[in-house]
Amino acid sequence: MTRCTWLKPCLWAAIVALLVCNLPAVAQSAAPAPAAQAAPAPPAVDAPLAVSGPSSDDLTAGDPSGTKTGTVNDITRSDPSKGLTLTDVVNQIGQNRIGINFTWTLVCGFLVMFMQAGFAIVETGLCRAKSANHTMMMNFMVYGFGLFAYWVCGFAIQMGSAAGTSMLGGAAPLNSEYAIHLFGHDWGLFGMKGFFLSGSTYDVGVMVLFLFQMVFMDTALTIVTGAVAERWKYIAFCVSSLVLGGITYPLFAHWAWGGGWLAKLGTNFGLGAGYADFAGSGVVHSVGAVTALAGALIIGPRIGKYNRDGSSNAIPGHDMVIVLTGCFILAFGWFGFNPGSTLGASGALRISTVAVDTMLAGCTGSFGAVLFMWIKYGKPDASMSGNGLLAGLVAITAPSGYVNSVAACIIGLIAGFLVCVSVEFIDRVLKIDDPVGAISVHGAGGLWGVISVGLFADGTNTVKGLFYGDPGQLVAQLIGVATLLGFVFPFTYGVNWLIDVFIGQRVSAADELEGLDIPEMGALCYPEFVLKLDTTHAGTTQATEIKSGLRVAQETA
Amino acid sequence: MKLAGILLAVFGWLIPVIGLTMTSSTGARMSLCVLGIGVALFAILKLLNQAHQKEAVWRR
Repeated sequence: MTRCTWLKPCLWAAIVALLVCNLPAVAQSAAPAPAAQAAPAPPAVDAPLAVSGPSSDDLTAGDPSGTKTGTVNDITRSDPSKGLTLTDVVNQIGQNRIGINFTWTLVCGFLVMFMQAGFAIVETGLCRAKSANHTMMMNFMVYGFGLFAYWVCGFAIQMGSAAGTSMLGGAAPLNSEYAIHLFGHDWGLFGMKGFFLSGSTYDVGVMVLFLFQMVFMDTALTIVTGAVAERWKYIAFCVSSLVLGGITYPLFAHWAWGGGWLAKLGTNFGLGAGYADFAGSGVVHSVGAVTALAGALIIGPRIGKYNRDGSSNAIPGHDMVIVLTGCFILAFGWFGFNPGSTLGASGALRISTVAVDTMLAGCTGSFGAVLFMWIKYGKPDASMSGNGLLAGLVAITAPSGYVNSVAACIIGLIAGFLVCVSVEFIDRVLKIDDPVGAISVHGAGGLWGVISVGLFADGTNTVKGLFYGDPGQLVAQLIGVATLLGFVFPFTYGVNWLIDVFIGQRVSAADELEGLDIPEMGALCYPEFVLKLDTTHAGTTQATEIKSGLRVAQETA
Repeated sequence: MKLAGILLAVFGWLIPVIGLTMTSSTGARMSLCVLGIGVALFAILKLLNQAHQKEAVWRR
């Protein structure tokens, strides 16, 4: 047999083998595809779920490890006869989220309320003992006056159109605003829903918002009492506080936080995210400071503060212990002020960053003030150290939600230096008497905080500043500063000028020299202590002349 | 003088606000802001304060 003769049978055998081997694959490919499995039907949302929790016998035996507490048994059934449904489970998730946010916001609001005690003892400690009762009473009653005015109309003006706060369930009833249409844009001016928290604003979400915003408003009010302490008539304080809490503060707060025109600078004019003020360096502290400045200008300095040549006399406070204790109380309360401004903890885990930024800025603020005083005067001054801490906290209030920890340190340090420079400038150059440094701490610190958002915001929380590529944000912040100086100050100055015309803001010289506790309050704060006489030359001289003038006026009357 | 100080402060606010509608340049808007803030500060700290200092209690 030749090679060709055995090759043909081999080829045929190979072909047959291939065919036999591929028959199953051919058979498989040729076989009709089985019917596609139908997708499982979605569970009926109202059908009872086949789940069960611990039995009643299990629960009766006790639960030391916690594994039998907080189970499917604790989910609210909308229809107990039907049992647990998917709708019930999903609703419970929503309730839990909002419940967490309510609890967080309310507890933070309680912390901010406690700051009133801090402000009270800081201011009282920095004033003289003869007016301590009066100073404490202003800080005590500012809570009530502010709360009442805010309940009547302030909350409505500020938050009347704030619907959409998803962290608190939406606050849908807050849906009315007065706006004007100019140059092709709407300029929201004030809200119109929520007066007396009545009607549809009798709502659990609205109540949380009211409490939280109210304590912020009260912080602004209490700032004023420090700058005009020891010579402000109590009745004038009452009226001024009612107006500030009911109208002035809510107006600017609406523009910034209530959906007003400042907040819309981003959408209307392309300026970053619009005016951004996370927790209120501008809204709270700067509004309080410009009102304090207006009051200090109208009322004038304490007798004895300045000599005839314009030089300034130091009038030390009477208790540094309560001043620095008060600063700690404020620093503690600030953990509610800044982190609480997320309005929730569920879906807002940035609260940790905000809290740490707040701590760091307060710390470096005190460093800045201590360094400044130590270098300039050779000793670290206690009251300025406290003011430095507060200035750092004030300055970080606006940017706390938008910056990293390095920026927070820088912002606080600059605020610490700034407050020392500002105190001396206001006292010695402007000759404005501010017993507690409120205008410097809350004004200089507050305006620096507003501006620092436009510089340091890093974009990790929607806002980006100049150093991270958005100069428009800085413009928005500067417009906020201009509004504080050019609208809020004139407005509040006008209000207080009218109060001065109709009621009178300043106590008589005789009352001031005696100390306001007896003339205004009817009782001394420290009845068992012998109070020191005012021995400054200027004070004694001015007191003698004023008393002589009074005596002459009475004789000729 | 006090009224002049108040009115000038308000004018300092209006400079950047009205400027928003007149230009879309970020640089121009920023310059107007700085100008407006400067005008407002001058009005408050110089004009208004000076008017109050003239009748201050320590001058009597």
